[in-house]
Amino acid sequence: MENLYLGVDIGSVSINIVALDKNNELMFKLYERNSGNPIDVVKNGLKQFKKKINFDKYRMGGVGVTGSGRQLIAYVLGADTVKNEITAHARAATYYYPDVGTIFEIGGQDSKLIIVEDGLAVDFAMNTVCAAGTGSFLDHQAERLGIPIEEFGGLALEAERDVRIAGRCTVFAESDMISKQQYGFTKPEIIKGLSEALVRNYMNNLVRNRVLKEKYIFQGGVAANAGIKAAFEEELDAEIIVPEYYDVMGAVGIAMLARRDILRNKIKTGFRGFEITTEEFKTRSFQCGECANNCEVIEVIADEKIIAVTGDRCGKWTASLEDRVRMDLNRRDASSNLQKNQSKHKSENDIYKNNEDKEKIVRQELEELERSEEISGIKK
Amino acid sequence: MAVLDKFFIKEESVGLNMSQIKVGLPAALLYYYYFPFWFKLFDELNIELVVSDNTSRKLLDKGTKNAISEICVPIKIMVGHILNLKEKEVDYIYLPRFKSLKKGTVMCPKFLGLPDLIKHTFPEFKNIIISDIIKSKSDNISQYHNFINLKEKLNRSKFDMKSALKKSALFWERFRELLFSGYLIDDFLKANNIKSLEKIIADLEQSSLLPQSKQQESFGREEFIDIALIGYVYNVYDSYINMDIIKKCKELGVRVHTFSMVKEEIIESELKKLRKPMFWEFTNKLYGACEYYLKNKRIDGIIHLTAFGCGPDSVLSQILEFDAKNYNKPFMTLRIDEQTGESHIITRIEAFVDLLRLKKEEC
Amino acid sequence: MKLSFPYMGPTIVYAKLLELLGHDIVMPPRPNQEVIDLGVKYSPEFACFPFKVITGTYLKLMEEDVDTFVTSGGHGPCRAGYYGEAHKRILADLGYDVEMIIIDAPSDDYKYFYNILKKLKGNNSWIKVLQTINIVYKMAQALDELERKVEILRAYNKNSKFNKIWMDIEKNFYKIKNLSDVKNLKAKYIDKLSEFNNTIPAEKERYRIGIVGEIFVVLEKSINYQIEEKVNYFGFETERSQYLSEWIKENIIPFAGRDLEKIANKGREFIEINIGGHARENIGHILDFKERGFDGIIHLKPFACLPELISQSVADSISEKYDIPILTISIDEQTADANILTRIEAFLDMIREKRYREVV
Repeated sequence: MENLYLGVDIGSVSINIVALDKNNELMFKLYERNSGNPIDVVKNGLKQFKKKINFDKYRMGGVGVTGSGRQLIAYVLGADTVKNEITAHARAATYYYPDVGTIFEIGGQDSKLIIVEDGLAVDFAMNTVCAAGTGSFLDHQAERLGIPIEEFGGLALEAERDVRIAGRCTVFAESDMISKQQYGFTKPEIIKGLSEALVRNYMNNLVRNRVLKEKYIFQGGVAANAGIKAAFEEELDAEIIVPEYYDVMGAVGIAMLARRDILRNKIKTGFRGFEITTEEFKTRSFQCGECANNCEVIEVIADEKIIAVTGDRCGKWTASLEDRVRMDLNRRDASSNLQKNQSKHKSENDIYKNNEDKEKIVRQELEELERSEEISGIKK
Repeated sequence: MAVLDKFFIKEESVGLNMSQIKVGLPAALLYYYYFPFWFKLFDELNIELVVSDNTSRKLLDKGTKNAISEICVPIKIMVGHILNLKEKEVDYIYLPRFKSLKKGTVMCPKFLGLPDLIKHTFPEFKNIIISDIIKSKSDNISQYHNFINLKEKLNRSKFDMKSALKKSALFWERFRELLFSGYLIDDFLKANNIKSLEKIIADLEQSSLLPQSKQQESFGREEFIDIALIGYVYNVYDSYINMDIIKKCKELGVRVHTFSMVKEEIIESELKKLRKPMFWEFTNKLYGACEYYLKNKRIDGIIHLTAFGCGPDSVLSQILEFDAKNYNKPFMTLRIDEQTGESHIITRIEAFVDLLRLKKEEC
Repeated sequence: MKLSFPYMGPTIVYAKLLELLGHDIVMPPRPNQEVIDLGVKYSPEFACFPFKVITGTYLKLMEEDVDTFVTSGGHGPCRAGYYGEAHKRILADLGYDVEMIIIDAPSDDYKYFYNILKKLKGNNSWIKVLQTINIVYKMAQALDELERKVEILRAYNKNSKFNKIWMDIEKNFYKIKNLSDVKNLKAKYIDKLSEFNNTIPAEKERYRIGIVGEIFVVLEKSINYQIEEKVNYFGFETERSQYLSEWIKENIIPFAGRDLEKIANKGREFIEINIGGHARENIGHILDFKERGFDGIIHLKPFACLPELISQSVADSISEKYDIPILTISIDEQTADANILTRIEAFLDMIREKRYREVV
């Protein structure tokens, strides 16, 4: 039996699911629009995944969830690793391109810049105030121009003239675009102008006066857009690489991180099983109101059973559920599995230690694990 | 970078030849208020003064890219001008740190920290920025202690410096008198060197014509509308960033009045109305001038021209709005930023002027 | 006279002060969505976030028939010094007739300061006033000492456990009457917290994050999205640049030492003169944290805060020169919790990975 590691990226615009085998080969890939009900999308995705994979040969080794909607889905799936999308994106990019210097990631409502040195993320920036440098901006304008978003990027390359479109804000860009259309600029030219406006926004808000280093990787849903890629290349006067799995890099990264955590901590996955595809999930929230904090408490319910409670700062509501709920592994004391081990040898299982001897031991153990995994899978 | 390396080497190895030294002056922020003073000063010191180009798209783009996105537009423009001077191969950039122009008031924190911002955003500029702290009891900044660094860097004697300052102050006072008499700073900005500025000032002093703000209706024309354009000099007179608002107003038959036409005594007396004046010198000036214009029957309406992200104005505009309501005077806030579209500004000014005309005709 | 005041940090301290002086006070509401919405609606669009939150707090308190607000003033150049004046106008415009007691430095306007002091003093003797200030100061000190411990221990324990202890601490401190109450309570909680000392790992395994920035967003959890709890959650200790007792010591207690000046002087390399707010002190604090072996800095500021924009501008240069990672977070009503969480997590991941290279 070989282990598969599932990576799920819950973005505001798309939901991506991938599965990697132990050699980090992509065994399954799904890119789905986020219709507003991520749980249903994930359930459907899992159904497809189950159909495609031969579960006589494979089994679920671990689950990682990332993206802005990660918390809820992590509860639903019983994820082993829940991490932010910056770390996930950096992980995937540095795996495929160990000598990467700069990662541009533009998604639906977020855009990110990650600076990498020697394979380690050393600096990053993320859009904070507005969506003018993101995919939503393009979606909006494409709709306005009546052009399918898929054709948008290609069209920009056909432009003959340059036109500057004011674009700090999507609404202003729209009025400026309309007035520029009146001057007789063609659609490709307008689109090129919009692409440049997006890159300009990105440069002004995220890059600022940072010194960017080669090699440049461009990923995220918008990386499919040839017009934006060209605008970046013009701005930087350098080649930009769009990785093969550019649209699911976040999911790939989190699958890798899940695998790492599972192996490092020698635990079994907390995946709740494929039954979840038939379960009914609900969330409900209420204001606690027992003190001035007025916490908004959120409950996640699967088939009438509460599987997670979150949001209460004093722990009053979570306490009762503690044993059943798996929490973020990254927390030193959180995972219930980990906790039992940790209460005695806490430091031994601390995954982020700067101890070279320990590191060596961990490395050896991991190598052994890899070998034993090939033979019989992880010990139970 | 290469350009800078060149003069670093020059400085270290040969030492700068003082007669050839070039000092750059960014045409941003308080440039509009003090440029006659600085023109005269550097002329008296026999130093070649290089002024940055007028604000342009390219210059603004540079500033926007290199300053943090949250900061106000005037600072971004300043950053653009500094970078523009770098291209002009100047030896020094004169960027004084304006701290206070009156006892008890200071400038906006961004003015106070401006040289720090520049030096740490562009470490390569650290050694070429000359930034004396300007601390004065009045708008006249010619006190010797405000220029000690400059004097040292330019290697001038105390006596030379003092006499140059004295002459510059007198020259600047002449400019101020003309402003009080109703001229706009715009009328002087055509000059890009001391000779042409001297000529403009001398001509205006002798001119028998009235400044635009005091012109009478000429036959056959629409009646004039009087608008007080309340805003900092770098918003009102940077014709690029404000889409040439003054020209636009003139075309619409508007006589433009600004704070620099209001005498200091009047501003002071208006300020007494506040239990606690604001801390920022120019914000107080705008407040005092605006209160004066609110009471002035000749003024038909007020436009508060403010830059996106201006902190002091966020306090001021609220006070002005309430007061305009009390005086029942039409009031409009125009906000400008690096992305403002021309049509946006023009539409609003035209609509405002139309409104004032209608109101005037009704009376 | 029914008194209230803005909510910032351990608000029970100001409440206690006014209460012990015999005033009728109303405890202001902790800023929540309702308060923030109210504030945003009635404040100028471009006012900074603390201003809007305070506007909301005042308006909410109007429901409780408060007629007098006590707030701090200042003489700039930061906008906060003018808040009181501006709020007075907003409330008046909405038809509320309230009195603003704005505590300015006596040097600004002696007469005004004296009148205010007399008003707050009430019928108490000056000795009683000084005694009261002393009790409240000791109380603030005790609270800060306990909070510093919580900020360390919470990194190695469940957040909720220590949040609960902290809530108890605040609740019980609000009941104190005199100095010995303060002493006893402090001792009791020091003991309680010390029980957890064994959860702190060995020195080289500890990670510490310094939190600097504008005082309101640094001190007030409910508007900084519980930033310290978030950082602690990932197993990092925190320490702030500002604690209320230090503020009291620097600003109110005469003849107290001026440690802050030393800190501010450290910042001189980057910001040469005082530019308002705590910009220069914050730069000093960053360098101080670095010297003390902290692993990273989170710089918090209200969106478009004037002085902090300058410190943000020089932060890159500090980070590079002194090799300390700095994350700047701007906070206002449009900030999204998920965005903050993501950035903090990524920032902390980055710091950890730096110390511990990837194995798999």
